[in-house]
Amino acid sequence: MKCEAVRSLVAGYLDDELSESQASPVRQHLLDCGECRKLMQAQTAEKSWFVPTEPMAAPEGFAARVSRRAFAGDKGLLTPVSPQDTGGGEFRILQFAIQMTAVAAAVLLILALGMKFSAHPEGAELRADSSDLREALETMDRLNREERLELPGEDSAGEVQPIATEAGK
Amino acid sequence: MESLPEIEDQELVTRTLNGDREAFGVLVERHQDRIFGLVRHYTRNPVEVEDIVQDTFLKAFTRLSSFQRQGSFYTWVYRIAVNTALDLFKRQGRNPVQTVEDPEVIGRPPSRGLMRPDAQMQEREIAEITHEVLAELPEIFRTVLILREFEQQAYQDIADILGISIGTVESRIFRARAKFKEQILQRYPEYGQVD
Repeated sequence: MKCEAVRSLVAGYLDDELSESQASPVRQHLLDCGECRKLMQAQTAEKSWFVPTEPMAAPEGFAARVSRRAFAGDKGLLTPVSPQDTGGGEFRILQFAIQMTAVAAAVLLILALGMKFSAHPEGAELRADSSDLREALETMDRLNREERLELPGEDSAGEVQPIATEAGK
Repeated sequence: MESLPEIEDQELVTRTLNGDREAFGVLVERHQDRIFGLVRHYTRNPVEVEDIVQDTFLKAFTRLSSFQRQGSFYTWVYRIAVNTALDLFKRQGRNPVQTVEDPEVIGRPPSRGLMRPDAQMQEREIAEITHEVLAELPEIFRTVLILREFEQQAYQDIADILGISIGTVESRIFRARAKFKEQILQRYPEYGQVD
C-alpha cells in the first residue's frame, strides 16, 4: 500500500472507523514505513489532549421532575441566565437606560424640528420692502399737491418737492 | 410483565405519546447522564448544564411525535442538546467564531507537530487547556471534536446527529484537528515538537 493512500486513512484507523479489510494493509504499512508511522504518532499525540473528563451525574430526581414539567406543558423556554448569575440584573438596567436615552433623543429631535418649521415670519416677510413706502410717499405728495392752498406770490413751480427715499434713488 | 427499564426506546416513545408519564421519565433517566456529559463540554457552569439538559428533554417531549423511528432516540436527543446549547450561547452573545476559514485560503498549516501533554500535568489541567482552546474554535469544529474525541461517537453517528454526510464528518474532523493543533501551539508554543 502506498504512503499517500495510508496517510488519508490514518485518522480513520486511529478512530476505529476502518473495516478489518481496510485496517489490515494500513497496519502492515505502518510497521514497514517510518514516515507514515511518524504521522500516526503525531495524530496520536493530538488525540491525547482529549482526556476523559469527570462524569457529571444528573441531580437526584431530575428525570421525574422533567417528566412532570413536560406533561404540565412546559415547552422548555430556557431563561438564558440563572438567578444566581449576578450579571443579569445589571444588564437589564443598562438595556433600560439605553432605551430611555434613545426615546429622549428622539423626542428632543422631534421638538427641535417642530420649532424649526413652526410659523415664523418667512424671510420674505421680514425683508424691508420699500415699494409700499415709496407708493405711500408718492400718494402723500399727490395729496399735498391737491390740498395745498395756493398762496399769493407762489407759482406752480413752488410745489412741494417729493421726499427723496433710498429706494427712489 | 416487562418493567419499564427493560423496554426499548421506541416503545417508551410510543407509551409517552399515549400519555404515560412514567415512560418518559424512564427515557430521560436512561439518557440523562450522556447528555449531561455532552453538555459539560460546552459549558463548565453546572447550573447552565442542568438548564440546558432540562430544556433538551422538554424540547424532545414537545417534538416526540416527529421523531423518526428509523433512527436512534439518543442520536436524536444528542442533536437537540447540541442545538439547545448553541442557541443559548447565541442568545447570550457567547458565539465562538462562526466563520470557517478555508485552510487552503488561509494558507499553511503549522509545520510543527504537537507534543503530548506533559506527563506531570494533571488530567484536570489538560482538560482545562483543551476546553479553553475548544471554546475558541468555530462551532462546527468544536462540535465534531466533542462528539468524536470526548463522546467517542462513530463517524456515522456524528453524521446522524448533525444531519450531514459521513464525508463531511471526515472532512470536518480533519480540519478541526488541524485548527485545534494550530490554536494550542499559538497559546502554548512550548508544546510544539522540535524537529
